[in-house]
Amino acid sequence: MSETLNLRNVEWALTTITELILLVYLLRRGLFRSHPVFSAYILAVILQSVLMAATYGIWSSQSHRAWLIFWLSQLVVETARFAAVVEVARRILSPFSGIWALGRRVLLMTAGSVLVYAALLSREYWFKLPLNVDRGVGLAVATVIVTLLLFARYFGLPMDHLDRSLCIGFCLYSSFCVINDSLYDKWLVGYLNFWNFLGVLTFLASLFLWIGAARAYSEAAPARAPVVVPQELYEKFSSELNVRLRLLNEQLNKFLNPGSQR
Amino acid sequence: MNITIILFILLAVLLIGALVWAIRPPRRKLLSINDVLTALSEEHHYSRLPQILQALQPEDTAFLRDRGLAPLRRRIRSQRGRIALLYLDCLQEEYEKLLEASRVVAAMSPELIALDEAERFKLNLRFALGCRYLRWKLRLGLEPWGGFGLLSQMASGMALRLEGATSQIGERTAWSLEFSSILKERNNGTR
Repeated sequence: MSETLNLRNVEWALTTITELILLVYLLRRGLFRSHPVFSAYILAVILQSVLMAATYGIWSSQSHRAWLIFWLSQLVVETARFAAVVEVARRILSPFSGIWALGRRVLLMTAGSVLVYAALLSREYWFKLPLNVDRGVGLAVATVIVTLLLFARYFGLPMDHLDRSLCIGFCLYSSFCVINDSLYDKWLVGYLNFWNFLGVLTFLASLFLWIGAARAYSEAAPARAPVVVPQELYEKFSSELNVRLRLLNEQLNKFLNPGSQR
Repeated sequence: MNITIILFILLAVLLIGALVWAIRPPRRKLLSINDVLTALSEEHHYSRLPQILQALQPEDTAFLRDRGLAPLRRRIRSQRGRIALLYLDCLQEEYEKLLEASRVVAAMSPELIALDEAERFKLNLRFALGCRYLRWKLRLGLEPWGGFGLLSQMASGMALRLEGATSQIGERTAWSLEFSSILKERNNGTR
């Protein structure tokens, strides 16, 4: 490799080392059992770094082959990232079967709509397909994470520190990916290195966040064994609560629109 | 400037903002199962509405003005406005407790009724916005109760609805007992 050791290479090396540290933590703490997809995602990212180092060593980083290998490997990494997010969502929501049943439909619909939306917005730029896919997946991942967190907040669901950190890391990284891809698309074509630098920097920040959470992870976390009530009881409570909430809303309406009484 | 690019960047920034909002520690205190039962069986504030509405009617204090006691009338009206705000506080407190109870029950249910949950979410939004709006109106001394000529009609409408609700709520004691016994059974089973 004839390239000089520039800032980008240092950053790249630092990121790979950080990924390896995270992988070691995942293995040593036994987190690969509770988070197998996330562990596979980190492994995929490391393998991609190795593959790209080898590719750039054999062919030039500007070659068509290198470009193709990068985007194909990126497709695998994107899929793994999405799967890791689904795993986190399942971990947070699935102990509550009712919420999980509703939540997974909402999350699936959210992800689908965002992907369609991103595809529609990018349809005129099909020649930039990889970049658009990257941006679309980034937007979908960030939206799913935010929806998941709002869902968990609305229902007051417990969430351990690791899952919370995974959510924050994924969302921040994905959002910055969307911004980076958009800026690159429009203004930074001539600043490829700078664009890469920003992308890797945000990923590095997420890695540090995840390492911190993996280090602090405790096996003695409280077991999630929520109480389950019969469906009929939920239906009764649910309808009664809605009647009561509607009545309170009507009271408020009487202050606001006293003339609208039916 | 390309609108598509701006939309993408805007969405990403909005998502970061929503993330920051969503990861804040929750302010509300999580209810226990006992609190849910209490929330369902507590006395509520519906019965006070006619008095509150009556007190807010401008006609209710008009005689003071006719007798040349305008300052007293103003003071009384301002006090009644404060009482209305207190009533609104109680209403909101009750609302939040019920909403929290519904979340606790949802977390324990094997399957949620999406329509019920969506309706609750919608009601919650409406209530939160309406409450805030009304509170500001009362604080600013504005009169949101301009059309209180229909007071009696409103009260009777509410009474009808309350009757419907009470008949449903009448079954509550039985459910509560059933609910408590199930929880007791489960607790014994897990020990």
